Parts: sequence; C-alpha cells; structure tokens
Amino acid sequence: MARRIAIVEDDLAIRENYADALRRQGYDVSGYADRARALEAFRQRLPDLVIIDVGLGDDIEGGYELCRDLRAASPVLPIMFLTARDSELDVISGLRLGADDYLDKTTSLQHLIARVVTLFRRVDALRAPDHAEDVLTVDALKVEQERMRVSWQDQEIPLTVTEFWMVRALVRRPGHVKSRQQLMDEANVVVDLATVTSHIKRIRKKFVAIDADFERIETVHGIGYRWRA
Amino acid sequence: MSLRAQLAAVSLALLLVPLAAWQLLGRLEGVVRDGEERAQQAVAAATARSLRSEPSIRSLPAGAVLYARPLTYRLIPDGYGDEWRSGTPYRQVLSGGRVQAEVELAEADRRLAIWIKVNDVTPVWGDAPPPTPVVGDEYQLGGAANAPQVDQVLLDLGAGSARVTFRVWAAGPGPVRGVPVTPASVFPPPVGVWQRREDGPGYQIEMVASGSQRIDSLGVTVLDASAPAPGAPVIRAGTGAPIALLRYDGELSTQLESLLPPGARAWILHADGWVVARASRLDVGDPYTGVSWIWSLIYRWFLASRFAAPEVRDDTTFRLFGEELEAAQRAPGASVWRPAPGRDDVVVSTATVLSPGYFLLVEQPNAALGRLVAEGLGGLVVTTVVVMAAIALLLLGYATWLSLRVRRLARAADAAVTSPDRIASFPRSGARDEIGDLNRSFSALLTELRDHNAYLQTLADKLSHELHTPLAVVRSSLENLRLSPLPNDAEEYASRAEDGVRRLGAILSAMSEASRLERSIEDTDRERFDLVEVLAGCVAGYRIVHGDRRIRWDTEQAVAPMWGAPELIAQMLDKLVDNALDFSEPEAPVSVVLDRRGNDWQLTVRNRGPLLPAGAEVRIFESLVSHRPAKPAHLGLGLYIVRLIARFHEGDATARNAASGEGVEIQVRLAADPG
Repeated sequence: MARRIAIVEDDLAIRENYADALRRQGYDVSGYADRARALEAFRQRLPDLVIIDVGLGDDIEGGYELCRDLRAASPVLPIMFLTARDSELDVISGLRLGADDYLDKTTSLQHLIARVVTLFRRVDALRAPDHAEDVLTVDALKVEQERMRVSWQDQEIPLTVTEFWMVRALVRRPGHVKSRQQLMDEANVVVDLATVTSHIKRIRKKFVAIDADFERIETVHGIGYRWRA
Repeated sequence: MSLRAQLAAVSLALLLVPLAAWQLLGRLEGVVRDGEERAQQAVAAATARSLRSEPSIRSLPAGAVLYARPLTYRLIPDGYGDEWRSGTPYRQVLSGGRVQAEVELAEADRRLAIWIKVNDVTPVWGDAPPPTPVVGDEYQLGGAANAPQVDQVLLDLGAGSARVTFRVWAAGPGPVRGVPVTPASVFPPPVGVWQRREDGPGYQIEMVASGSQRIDSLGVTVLDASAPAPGAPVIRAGTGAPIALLRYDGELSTQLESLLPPGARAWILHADGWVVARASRLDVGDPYTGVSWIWSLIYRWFLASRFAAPEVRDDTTFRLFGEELEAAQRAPGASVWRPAPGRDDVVVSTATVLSPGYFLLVEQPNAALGRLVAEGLGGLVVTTVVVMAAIALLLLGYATWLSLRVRRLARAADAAVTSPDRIASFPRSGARDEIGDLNRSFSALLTELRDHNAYLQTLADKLSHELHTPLAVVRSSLENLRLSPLPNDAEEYASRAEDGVRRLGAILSAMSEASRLERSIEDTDRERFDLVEVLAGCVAGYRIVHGDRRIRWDTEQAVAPMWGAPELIAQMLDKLVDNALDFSEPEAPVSVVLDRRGNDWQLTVRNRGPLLPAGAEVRIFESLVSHRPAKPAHLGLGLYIVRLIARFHEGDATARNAASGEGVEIQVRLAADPG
C-alpha cells in the first residue's frame, strides 16, 4: 500500500506541484489549504508524513499550531516544515515544536523527495527489529546511517535530517575540511552559505548540551569545517 | 552674527530712550528758564519804573561822559601807571588824529586822580610860551600863529558854572603843575608827574586835581607839538569842551537796594557799562546741596542751554560788560544765564533800559534750575539707566534662551542624524511658539525619514520573502515539467526558465542574507580569537577557490587578538574579497593588509579597477547601492554586510580611491581586544 503524505499549504499551485511530484514517486498525496480542513482529515486518519507550510493564509502561525497538535497526536509521525520564511527564529521554533526537518521553498523537488524518502527510511529503520546496521563509529561518536541516529558518548543527539547529513559528511572523512558548499550538497539543501554556519552552530550546541567539552567540529576560516580526529 | 549679538544690536535702540528724555528735559529746562526770565524782566521793569521818578536818576548826565571810579586804594602820583594797570577796563580813549590818548579817572575825598597816557611818536619837551588870550573866556591855542612849541595837555575843570582851564607841559620827566590859562581861584592848580611812556613812544601824566567844589565836568585835550612845519594844523586829541563827570552814587545805591527783592543784586549802568549804583550782594547759595556734583556737571555739560561767559562782578567792579548789556541796547529787556563764578549756582542777569543812556541790570541766582537738575535729571538718569539695564538684561536673557533652544534643536538634529541610514529618536518639544513648531516639524520629518529608512532597510527582506512563494511556484512547476518528456523546442525554453529561476533564487538569497544578518547580529556570541589566523585562513581558502587570481596577504602582526565573532569576520572578508575580485581587472592582484592603528586593527582590501565616483564613499556601504560597473549582477549588499559586521566589532568601514589612483581601497577598522 502506498504511503500517505499530507501537504498543508495555502498556495494551490505549490501544493499541486509538490503533490504531483510526490505522486509520481508513488505516494498517496492529499493536499489541504488550511489548518481546519487538515485537522478534520487527520482526525479520521493520520497520514504517514506531513509537510506543513508555516503561514497558512491569514493564519500566520497556523503551521506551528498544526505541528503542535499533530505531535500531540503522534510522537513518531514525521513532520516537515516547508516555508517561505527562513529566519533563524522560524527554524528554531519549528524544530522546538518537534518537526523533523525544516526546508525553505527554494529547495528543489528532488531535494524534497530525497528528504521524504530519508524520513520514511528512518521511520522504517526505527520500527524494524535490530539488525546488522551500517554503523559508523569515530571515537565516541556513533552514526547509525539507516536510523539516522547520532550518539555521542552513548547518548543520542536529536539531529534533524539536514543536520544529520552534515554531521555524516564531516565524520566520513575525519580531519578533512568540508567546504560549506560541500556540506550543502551532502545535506541536499540549497541555502545561502551563512545558513550553513548557523546549522553548524546548532549542531555544536546540541553536542555541547551533552558534553560540555565537545570541540570536535572545527572551523577552518575561509574554507569550511572539519571533524577533528 | 549670532542671535544674541543681533538682539544686542537691536537693543541699542534703547539708547533712544535717554536721548529722548534728554531732549525732553532740555526743552523743559528751556521752559523753566523762559519763565524765570520773564519774571525777572518784570521785576526789572517794575524797579526801573520806580527809579525813573527819582531826581538822582533824572539828573544823570546825558551824552558823553568821563567816569571817575571811587578810589579803593591809596594812590601815589608818581607818573607811573602801576596803580592804574589793574583798571584797564576803566580806560577811556580820547579820539584824535595821529595822537591817541587814554584817560582814566579815580576819585577819593573830592580829590580827582587823572591818568593820561599819550601815544606820540615825536614827544617834544620844553617850556611852553604863555597862551594867547582870545575873545571871551575862550582861548586860542590852535591856528598857524599859535602852533604849540611843546607837547601840552589842557585840563578843563568845571564845578557848577565855574570853569578853569589848566595847561600842563614838561621840559623833561618830573613833577608838573597845571598853569591856569585864565586866573581862577575855584580850583587850585592840579599837580602831578610827567613821565616818558613805559610801553612805547609818548608820555604819561599822573595828576591830582581838587577844589572847594566837587568837580562835575572835565575836559582833557592833548596838543601835539610835533607839527612838521609852521602853518600846519594843530593836532589835538581829547574831549574838546569839558564833558560831564560820572561817578558812583552811594545814595542811589541805597535807594535801589530798597526796591529789590531779596537775594537779587541790581546795578544802574551807563550805556558804556560804567557803574552808577550797585545794590545788595548776590546771594549765591548752593542750590545743589544734596545733589551730587556729578549731576551738576552732567547738567552743565550735556543738558543746559547756552550759558553766557562768566563775568567778574563784585564790589570793586565799576565797569560791567556782558551780552545782556549789548542786547539791551537793541531791545527793551534782555536776559542771560551765566554760572556764578566759582560756584555751581546759575545767575540770571536781566538788563533793561532805565533812561536814555542808562540801564538797570538785575541779577538773581536761580534755584529752579538746580531743582530741575536734582529732581529731573538725577531721577531721569537713574530711572532710565535702571530701566535700560533691566530691559537689556531681559533682552539678553531672552536672546540667550532663544539661542539655547535653537542650539539645542540643532544639536538634537545633529545627534539624531548621525549617518544617512541611522536616525535616532528626536525629542519632541511641547513649546507653543515657532521654535516649538520647528522642533515638531523636525521631529515629524525625522520620524518620516526614519520610517522610510526602516522601510528601505526591510525592503530587501520583504521583497525576498514575498518573492519566495511565486518563485517556488515557478520552480516546482518547471521541475514537474522536467519529470515528463518534453518536446525538443520546449526543452530549450524550459532550461532558460530554469536558469532564470536559479538566478532569481541567488538574488533572493543574497537579499535575505543581509536582512537575516541584521536581525541576528546582536545575538551573536562573542569569543576571543586571533584576527591574523582567521584572515590568513580565509585568504588561503580564497586562493584555492579562485586559483586563477592573485590574492596578496600582508601583515606585520604576529597575532591580532580580538573579541568578537570570527565567523562574521570571515563572512566580512568573503564580501570584501568577492567585491574586490568582481571589480578588479582579471590580471591585477587583490591585496589584503592588516595594520595596527592605535587601539584598532585596520584591515585594507585593495583592488585595481574602476574608481569610485566622487561622493560615493559613504553611500557605497548602504543597502542596494552599487557604483561601479561590474561584470556579474551586483546587488550592492556585500559592503552593507561589511559595515554591519564592522560596527558589530565597534569599528567602521570606509571606502576611497587608492592614492595611486589605480583602484579602490576599502578600509575596515576593528576594535582590538584590550584584554
């Protein structure tokens, strides 16, 4: 049975474009123009993945409200924000509400699809019984590639998909400098380079929250970042 | 000229107040004087009327007179003029051709002292022959036959109907005695001394005449013996026939005194100024008692109408001069004001005609003027000075207040507009006057400007935000289109459209970068770092990325500690180097230099390329401003970000054309870490 994706987006053209693209990938996509209609439908049955626009017409923060409601309904439901807004604050609020990823509308359909696929794979991996997984271990860092989980000193770090991909890109070749452009490519995002800086900063903070002495992600000024071996 | 100076200049108009007051007071003084003069003329006229009926007035001689003053001192008849010199005003000149004689008379105890001085270039001394008697009591000394052999003086003494003529001559300087022409016993012969003139050619005679009767007429005739040849006319000078002898009259003085108001002094004068009678003394007090000498000085010098020249008139004065006497010759009454000699008082002197050839002169000290000065001038000066000072102070205070307000306004405006893109709040005045209005207009203007600036500053952000959605529509549509096969010609258009979307996306991302940085910069965490390390790393990175370009890095600093955000510095250098590379000629190097400037680090990025137009140095750092033609699309946001970051590090960024004139250098000042 096809996986069901719900797109909550007030702009008809975008909604249909995304829906068409995802349908072509074999997903069962339904679109909703506002929060009320989406909630109505979700009450009947939760989809497998939700893509939410933050601003829903006049309901400026409607996306956040919806995210909160959905997270309350299901703690594991993958939720992805897709928005024209791209300020730090928006990103942080979205993630704090339990969204799994946050993309802006400049992201291409391919990247979107890649993310959707990734999120589903992670859900599957989490559901599946333990099996020999492709695990990358560098010192105290453990990267479970299927489940898209990262642990440091045996404690899980709650990373978004974008952040996970960036960490994985750094860790795959410890000591090698990754430029911001490379990180962006690996994470399947097209943002401006400064956004990469803030992503890295957030990743560092998440590590530091667990290990106050964490200093492995190093800035190489003018070039990029590297994982210090 | 400052506002205060202007008001001070305007307040000079206040000087018109004392000027006007001075004019007014001057006119008032004139009116007071006029009144006083009229009153005194009335007094003089009344006194004159009473006197006219007096017999002693009626008996005053009319016509020409010789005046004999009372002799107030002892006289020794020695032929020398030292006793007479003090009495120069009493000199009476006798007319004559080439010979001129001066006569002066003084009288004491019926003894008449006669002083004669003759101006004669050819004095002839010698014995005079006896005169030739003529018909009647006349005698003839003139005529060709009787030309005098020596210089002679004839003295005619008369008392009542008696009359005797004495001849006086001298063979040399020494005592002389009058020789009567006709025998007479009424008058003993006058005696005296004949001397050479002391002060020129001629001779002088001092004689004393007396008689049993009082001499009441006198004739003095000088016969000059220097006639060149026999037959020439005799030269004579003198009165000819005896004329009346006028003297000071003590009785008349007493009568006059009884007619006078207290404090006044009066004189009865011959038309030539001879004093016939004098009554009372001038009661000159000091009317300015209690008035500061300064007021009387101010009055005398600045306020009073003209004063006549002071005249010495006292008990020993027997001939008076003065403008009032001259004026009285022409008008029935004339008054002048003159300062009392040696005193601060003012005397008004009025002359009026008493009888033909005689005047009555009334003098009275005047206190009214003193009071006017004391009460009017003093009060006026004090009041106007106080009022003027008060008004001037008030004006000055007002001007100071005004200029303070205007200056405060100007300062607030300056403070509010520190740079074109930063407008601080402007204090709003509640004052209801024009300056308040100006303040509010300023405030409104600046608020509007600030709003507009804020709008401009967020324009890029808003634009990028608003354009995101339609761009996403276009992009996703194109991508969907790609997923199904396209006809060949459509393929080309689709790829062009994709290209356009990509470029548009890049522009939007650049626009949002600036606004995002602007919003987040204040929350950026600061850390201690080495600027040299960051810059060197960045330059190394650029050399990898831009392999075909030369990027120089030059500093003498081993370390450059800073307190800030190294990512921002890197971002800033990205923009600077990108900018320099964009505007640089492809072969020319771009140089990055770090220097120490006092407490700051100075980062200079220099490129060779098109110059900045004049005036663009400041604006270049504003959002969406670009001045140089560049090959790639240049939004003008890079340098805006540079300045944001420089200011975050307590510095600033400036741009200028390089001294070599070949390109542009952008200098960024960054505060060094003091710790």
